[in-house]
Amino acid sequence: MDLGVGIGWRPEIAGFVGALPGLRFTEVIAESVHPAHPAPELLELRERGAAVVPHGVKLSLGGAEPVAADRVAHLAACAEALGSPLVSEHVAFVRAGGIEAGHLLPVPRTRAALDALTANIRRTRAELPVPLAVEPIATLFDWPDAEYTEGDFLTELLERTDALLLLDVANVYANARNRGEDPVRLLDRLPLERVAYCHVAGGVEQGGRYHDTHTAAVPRDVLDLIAELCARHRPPGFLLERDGHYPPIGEMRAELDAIAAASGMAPVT
Amino acid sequence: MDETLWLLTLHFLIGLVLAAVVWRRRSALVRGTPPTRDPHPYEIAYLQGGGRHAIAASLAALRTDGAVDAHGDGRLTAARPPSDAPRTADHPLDGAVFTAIAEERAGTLAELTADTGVSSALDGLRDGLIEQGLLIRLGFRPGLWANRWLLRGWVLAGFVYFFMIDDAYDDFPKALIVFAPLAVLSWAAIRLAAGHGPTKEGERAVAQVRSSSPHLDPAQGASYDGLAGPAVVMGVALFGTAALMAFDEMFAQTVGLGRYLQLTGVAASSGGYTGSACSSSAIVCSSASCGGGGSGGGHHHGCGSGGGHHGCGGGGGCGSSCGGGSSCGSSCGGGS
Repeated sequence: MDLGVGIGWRPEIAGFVGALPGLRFTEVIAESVHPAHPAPELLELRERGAAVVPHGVKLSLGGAEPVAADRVAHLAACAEALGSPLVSEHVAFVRAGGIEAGHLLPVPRTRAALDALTANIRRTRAELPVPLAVEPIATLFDWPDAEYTEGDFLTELLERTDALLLLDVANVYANARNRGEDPVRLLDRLPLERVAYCHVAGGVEQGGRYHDTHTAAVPRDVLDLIAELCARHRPPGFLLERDGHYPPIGEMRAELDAIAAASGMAPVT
Repeated sequence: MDETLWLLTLHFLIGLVLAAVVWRRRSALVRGTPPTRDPHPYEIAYLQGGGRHAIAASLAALRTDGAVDAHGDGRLTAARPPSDAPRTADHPLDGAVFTAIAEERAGTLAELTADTGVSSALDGLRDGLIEQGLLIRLGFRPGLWANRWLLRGWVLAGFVYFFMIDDAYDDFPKALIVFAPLAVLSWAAIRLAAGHGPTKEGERAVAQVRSSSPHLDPAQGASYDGLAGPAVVMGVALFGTAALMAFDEMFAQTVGLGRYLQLTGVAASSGGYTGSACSSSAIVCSSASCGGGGSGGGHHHGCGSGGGHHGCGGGGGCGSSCGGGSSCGSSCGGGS
């Protein structure tokens, strides 16, 4: 499956996204989709032949409790309504003990967490009509007493569940930068052949930490990391995530073109 | 024939004359007068789709000058055009539109439509068209109502006759003398109030410009690449959305000009969604950023309500600060 360069669909930028002549791939926040009445703009994109991937943010795959059946059903309904080739979620938890965190929280890299994740991903996959890709998140902290490196943790998770990997290049960059590591080293330890597609986003340095805000331009370092990734194994697609502070359309087009250039994919603008 | 019958006959004849006068005056207003000069593109736009269409044409002019840009979410922003380049946007409406955007009073089409400066410029455009006999005035029309006292007197006379007719005319349906004039007066009022938009001459002027500009019609394969600014603006005035899409599809769709013009009702009539240049459906030609606003002084109303932007609903894993995004990253403790 060749997806090319895409951009996350948001209602605010529906006009811009719909006007991209070469767009063959977009992603929509699954929790914002009403499966019985998807946004007409999304249906129009699908009719144009673009793949629309529902991207869940509230399933809490990394939670200790089993995933909620209604949330999995919603994800499945989104995939069916939008004719999606796959769906995606996060390697994270968003609630525990009945409390909603309102954030994506990192899971401890322990065997117990791996077991819980594995069980939830298997439960989810069993109900989905399409493959599931899971996305490691950017995190400002790591739980102590990790039993795995991030690369090993993810590799084993994918082996156990047969899920695909949604690799967020900006998250890889953010984590490595905040941990003082080389992001390329993580790329070398991941099963890149299992990457379904990649996220790309911008962020800002604040308080001595790099924050993957999705509201700033993609840094040069992230574009370079895309090139590093493609030199190893080119994934089917790269998707720009932008969630606010939308720049002039010329800059947004230039950003998409820069991703296309870094990945060696065809421009969509 | 006695005196009463004479009065009744006279009353009837006066009624006929008054109706003929009113009808003639109304016909003259609807017909309008031929233009004495070439209509400005914004006048053509206004005649076709009211204030909104004129605003769209003005935005096209400002865009050709490089004076406006749009953010990804459709918000309009002023830009500094090249100082030595010739300007297409030189109409008072352009000044009003640019000022509203530059002073950040208006960032969306809805806000632009509701802006008082823009409304005022549109009022000027509308009044000029009325003065030229190309547009029918909405509401009170002094020329038509000049005879209203005569009409009222005529109805009043009917009441007087009602009491004058003696018993010799028992078989005569006396109520007819009262109610027939009232019915005629009501009919006249409805006919006089009805009708707005271009006069026949206004429609003829638009048709004339359109027939002389097939090279601007996207439905006939017109290319807007490298087209001079004034031609682009005339194309937008004549062919609405289709021309906008051919000129700058990204700008038009991002700002939501397709839906904006769709609400004027002119897009379809001018081939807006059937032209080859508008490859997408009306839905994609629209944008979430298009919303409501005032009538802008135009004779077309409505643009839905309250435009603006809508959140994703279900938000992301990092809550409302992400505006519905996909969990927005490490600032939330964990990013997607």
